[in-house]
Amino acid sequence: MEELVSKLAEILEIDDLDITKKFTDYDEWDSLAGLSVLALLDSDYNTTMSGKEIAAFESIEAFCKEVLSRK
Amino acid sequence: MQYNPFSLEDKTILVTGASSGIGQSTAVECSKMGAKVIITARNPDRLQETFEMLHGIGHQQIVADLSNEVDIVNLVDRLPKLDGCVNNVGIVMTKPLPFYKREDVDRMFNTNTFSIVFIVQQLVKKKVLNRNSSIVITTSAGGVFGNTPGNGIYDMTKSALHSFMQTAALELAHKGIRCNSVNPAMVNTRMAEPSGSISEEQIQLDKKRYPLCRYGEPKDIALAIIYLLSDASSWVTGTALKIDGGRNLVR
Repeated sequence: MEELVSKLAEILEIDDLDITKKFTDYDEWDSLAGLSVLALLDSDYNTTMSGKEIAAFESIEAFCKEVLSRK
Repeated sequence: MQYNPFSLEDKTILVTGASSGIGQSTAVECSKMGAKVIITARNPDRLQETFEMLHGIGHQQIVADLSNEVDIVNLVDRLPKLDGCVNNVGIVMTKPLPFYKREDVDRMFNTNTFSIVFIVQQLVKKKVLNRNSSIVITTSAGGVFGNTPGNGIYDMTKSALHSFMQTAALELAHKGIRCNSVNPAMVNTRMAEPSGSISEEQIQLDKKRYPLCRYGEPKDIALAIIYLLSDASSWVTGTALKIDGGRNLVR
């Protein structure tokens, strides 16, 4: 989990990413950040989701759990 | 006979990437304008579908994978003399810079750029193109008139093609061969359908950025290609024809 969170923090360029928040709570969440998360899932986690699905998670933590459960 | 400076009567035109989208529409419209059309694509079933849509007689279909140089040579060896060649091969990849892989870039350049460079080279070296013939390359508004975040690899391949189009225009002018491009923004083909990275909502939002309020249709591009193939454009070479519903006028 820690590794995925740190990669997300890097994409969003936020040092202290609060994983209880949703992606869409952050101003940094834009279409390029969305594309970056999709590319990260594809390259490092061998899974895919739609941009809409990612934005719909109730928290970043829930998103991370879903991704890791697919590994 | 009716006056029609855009007629392709008595012209033989090669259309690559003819099994779908802009290539398919171009092949059909060329046949309606009186051309003998030779169509090529990788997938035989889908190529056959296009073939059945062509008007008139005397057309040909040849299956070939133009990302493969052997297929290019074999294709060109089977061609009659041409009056025009339309290069539509192209694929997309959406990926931000930190995620580029060398193999992604190689694959995109092989398909979008190098296949077209080497088919044009073979057509020239084997003297397949008649004097006063016209080469049209489908590049893109992206990479030439504007770039989009996440589309860097695609835009690079199209920008390289834009440069090649201009060089070909210069080097082939003395042979009476013209070379131009059409540069579409988003066109309603399989490339513009919702996918993992682009949602239906994003597409609807994106359409609002077009002054003419819609994406293009393949026929919008095909008819511009017909202009560039016809004798109506006899004094036009090295031109990138932007066809984008006004998209690149606004930021």
